[in-house]
Amino acid sequence: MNRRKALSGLLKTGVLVAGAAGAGAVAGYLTGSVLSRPTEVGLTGESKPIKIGFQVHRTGIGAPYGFWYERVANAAVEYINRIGGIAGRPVQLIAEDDETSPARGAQVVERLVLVHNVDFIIGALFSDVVLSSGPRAGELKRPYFAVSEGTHVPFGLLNRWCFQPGITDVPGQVTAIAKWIFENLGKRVAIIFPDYAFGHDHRDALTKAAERYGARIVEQIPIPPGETSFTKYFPKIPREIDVLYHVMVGDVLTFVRELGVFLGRNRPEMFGFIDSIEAIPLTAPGLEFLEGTYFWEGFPRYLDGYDTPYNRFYRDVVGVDENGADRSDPSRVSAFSHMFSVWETLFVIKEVVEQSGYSEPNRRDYELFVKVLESMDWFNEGIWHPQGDKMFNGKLHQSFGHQFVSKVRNGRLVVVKRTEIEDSLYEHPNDYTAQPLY
Amino acid sequence: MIQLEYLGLAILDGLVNGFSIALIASGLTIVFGIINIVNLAHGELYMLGALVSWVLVSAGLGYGSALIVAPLVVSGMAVLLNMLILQRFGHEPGPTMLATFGILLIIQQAGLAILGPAPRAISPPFNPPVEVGGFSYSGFKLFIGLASLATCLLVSVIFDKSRLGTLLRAVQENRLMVGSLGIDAGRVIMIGFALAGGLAGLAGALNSPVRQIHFLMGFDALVASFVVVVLGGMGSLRGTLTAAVALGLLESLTALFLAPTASRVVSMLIALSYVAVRRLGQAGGGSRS
Amino acid sequence: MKGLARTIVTFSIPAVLACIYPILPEYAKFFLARVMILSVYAYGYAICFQMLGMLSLGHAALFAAGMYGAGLYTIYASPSPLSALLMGVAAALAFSLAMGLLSTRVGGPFLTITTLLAAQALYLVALHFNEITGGEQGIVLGREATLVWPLSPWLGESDSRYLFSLVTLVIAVTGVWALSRSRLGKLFIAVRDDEEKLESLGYNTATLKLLGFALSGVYSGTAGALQALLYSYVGAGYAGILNSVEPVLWVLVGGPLIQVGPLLGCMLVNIIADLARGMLRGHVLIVGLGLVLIAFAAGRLSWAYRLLRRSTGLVS
Repeated sequence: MNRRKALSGLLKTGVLVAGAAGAGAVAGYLTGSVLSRPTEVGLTGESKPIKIGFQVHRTGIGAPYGFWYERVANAAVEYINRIGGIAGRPVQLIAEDDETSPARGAQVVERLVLVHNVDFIIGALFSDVVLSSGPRAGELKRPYFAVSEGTHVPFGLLNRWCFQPGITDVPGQVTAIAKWIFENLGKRVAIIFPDYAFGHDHRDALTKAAERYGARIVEQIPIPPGETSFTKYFPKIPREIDVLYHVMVGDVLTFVRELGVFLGRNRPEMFGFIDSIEAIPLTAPGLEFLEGTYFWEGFPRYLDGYDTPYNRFYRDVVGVDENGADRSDPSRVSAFSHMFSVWETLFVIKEVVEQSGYSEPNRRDYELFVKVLESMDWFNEGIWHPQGDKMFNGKLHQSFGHQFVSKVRNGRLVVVKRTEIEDSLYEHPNDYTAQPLY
Repeated sequence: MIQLEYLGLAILDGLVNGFSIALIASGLTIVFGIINIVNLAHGELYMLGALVSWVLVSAGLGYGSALIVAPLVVSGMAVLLNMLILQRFGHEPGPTMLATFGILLIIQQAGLAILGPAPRAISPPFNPPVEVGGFSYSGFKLFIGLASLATCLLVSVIFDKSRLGTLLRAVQENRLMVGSLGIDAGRVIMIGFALAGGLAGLAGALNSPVRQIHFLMGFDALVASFVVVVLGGMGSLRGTLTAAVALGLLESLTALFLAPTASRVVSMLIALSYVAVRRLGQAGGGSRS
Repeated sequence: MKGLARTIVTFSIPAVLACIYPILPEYAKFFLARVMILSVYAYGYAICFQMLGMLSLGHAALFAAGMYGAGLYTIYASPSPLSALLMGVAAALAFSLAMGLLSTRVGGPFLTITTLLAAQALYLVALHFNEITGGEQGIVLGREATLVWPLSPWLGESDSRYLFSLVTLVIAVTGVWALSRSRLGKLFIAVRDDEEKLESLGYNTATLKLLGFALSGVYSGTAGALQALLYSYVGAGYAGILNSVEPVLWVLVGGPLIQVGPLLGCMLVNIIADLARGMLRGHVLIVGLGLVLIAFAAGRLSWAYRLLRRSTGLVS
């Protein structure tokens, strides 16, 4: 009886201590997040700041990207302020979490415009968030810059207030590299893709390219979102193919491991989009299977893949080392192929504001801003555009640029091809300039 | 498009997935049995099991330690949650559901803070490819399946044969009566939570070398376990195991014949019709639960 | 006397929303307009859960049915928003009848699981027919499909939206108020409290439950259709399980009074989330803590509910 009492006393004390520790941890986390909160980075100069709203995937499925997007945005704004801001005015970044949810995303657009009265919005990566946010931005008359690769901007699903100058879109990317795949890896292709728009964009663009180059898509395997076990779908991979094209997002480590066991050593050539393994080190257990396979990269993770002074400078400012990982924690790999889009978008805004003389969020200034942006046709490579030069199509509101093909060799990515801008061009009848702005 | 040569693989994979879902779900069943409420934070306990394993393995302590420590830590966590929160309002249905959803969000965000936003991975301690009938299968996944099955069977034997099992079942059937017999129902519930947490932690530790360890991994697990718990007849461990295996096999086999998303729809519709046939087939339309 | 008090309490929040309208800042108008539409969904859920005692985890499907009904009609048939609204409500009604026919009959936990599975099936079907539905990414509706489009030249975006949502909310509240006073509403509650007794009195409880489920579906689908027609976006995300869990939380937070609880809970949860979003990085954590605290408060507050119930005769 006594022992039991003592035991329960001990248990209670233990529970109390643990509870206090837990509460302390939560409190610490909260205080930490309040104090370290970089939501409003900027100068406190004498002139009125230019406010840039930023819809960021801090939580939810997009969090691995959101973390790096936010870091790049903060670094870019700090750098812009160091070199004199935009049109001599300091830049203030106002970032809010959209939980990677279309419902919340639309709400964040309203908050940014109506609570913070931002001049411009840098938008989301995930297509559903972009698609629900675009109409809100159009209605509230605020330029919205997607950083998403989706086809929603160029294919005219959104409106005249939505732009995507900072990153190339999926059809552009696939058009550019498909030719290389068919010429170097083979013409019989099976594609595994997520069963939503991003995956469908890949399927459609690849099918179109296959028609043009006389290749054949032997099998299409769409994977439902939220799937956590993949072996059951692998029997659909035909044996007589040359290339397995995979663009999986979600539970990618499980996917690669199970695929590795299933295919073993008799795998076909494999070509993937880096999107699957963004922010994941190639040395992660299970990824050895990817050795010798190929990836599309938007901007090579390893510096030697595209070693330019601008690239070095950009990595320095953002705090990323030559392996594409966090300077202060090399196990933390960046979303290098995508996050440059935030950097370049900020500099597009800077350039267009300075050229158009934009100063206030009003009709006259936005008309000037949009007119100048739509008349842009080229962004030069440099510190402002470290990924490379880009061609901008003012009717589609979309940029076209260079793409990279890399091979996994000894657990790192080695660039084997950099495509030309012309390789990625495609025709589309969309013309945003025909829409009224107001 | 029928690849019958893969039938063996589909069955094996369906069984392994079924067993591992059954292990995650068994804790949910136990808690459901004793307090009649779905613990919405149960999936997050599974995530915690994987998280603890990652922390231990990254610290160089070896996977073996994870298999022992993760269940203990998560079990302690479950007890703590019950003691500090759920017990306070006597497991009333409304507040309990609210609180467990709140706890779900809190643990998920804690997971984000500890793991970071990107998925993490640890290597399996052994993983010989097993050749079965012309295809190869992950040896470690086979181990997970067998270990999960063994654990589920062990727990259900404990439930049926031991004094603890008798107490748990008694609380499940009539909490008031148990109280009048001089048994501390609160303590029995606490033990139930400890057991449920331990099982979730073990499931997390077992699966951590083959899944990606991510702060969002708990929610999918919760939904999958909830489905098998109800299909298995609420609070019955055997039923949960049977339902999990049946659903695992169903998903695997439909995936052989249909487009992936369509196969998921079909397996859901089959599960729906099963409920309909079973419940509506009973006398009187079975409107009583 | 009781009747008057009941009416006053029921309409107090909409009245406050109407009174503060002139002094609201621009963002608050947009925000509250959004929450008012969601409150209609909360009321729909409450009819099913609070009046009839059926714990559904598939109401996202009913919300989405309304949303897709309205959205797809707009895109593929005619951009007329009013007929789209009717189509949305009809789609939700049809879907809730189909879902209710199975779910209300299997009852209890099996109702929960069949609604959950049916909703997941609808979500996956929306993904599978991506070419038509836009799948996870969704589809944007044209400007002319927006319900408040004709109003906005006179009233402006925020005011037209706020007033439209307020009128919708008042209609929804009036409906629930009338239902709770009506014989039908009392029968619903009798089904919840003692189904066997009601059956022995010769009532067809199966039909009553189906009717309640369908009514709940009409409310939820109206909210879904309005969401599409006010915010120009339709997407599978709204059919996901989280959108089924949210109304459960709102209703639980709002407390047992069906005339005001759903609105109160929906407002409270959304306001907490919105304030936290503006203040902190870890706002999801705050929402989690808030729910736990409310769970504690809900236990303590039951006396308040009882008191209110006794003094006003409100249905709980």
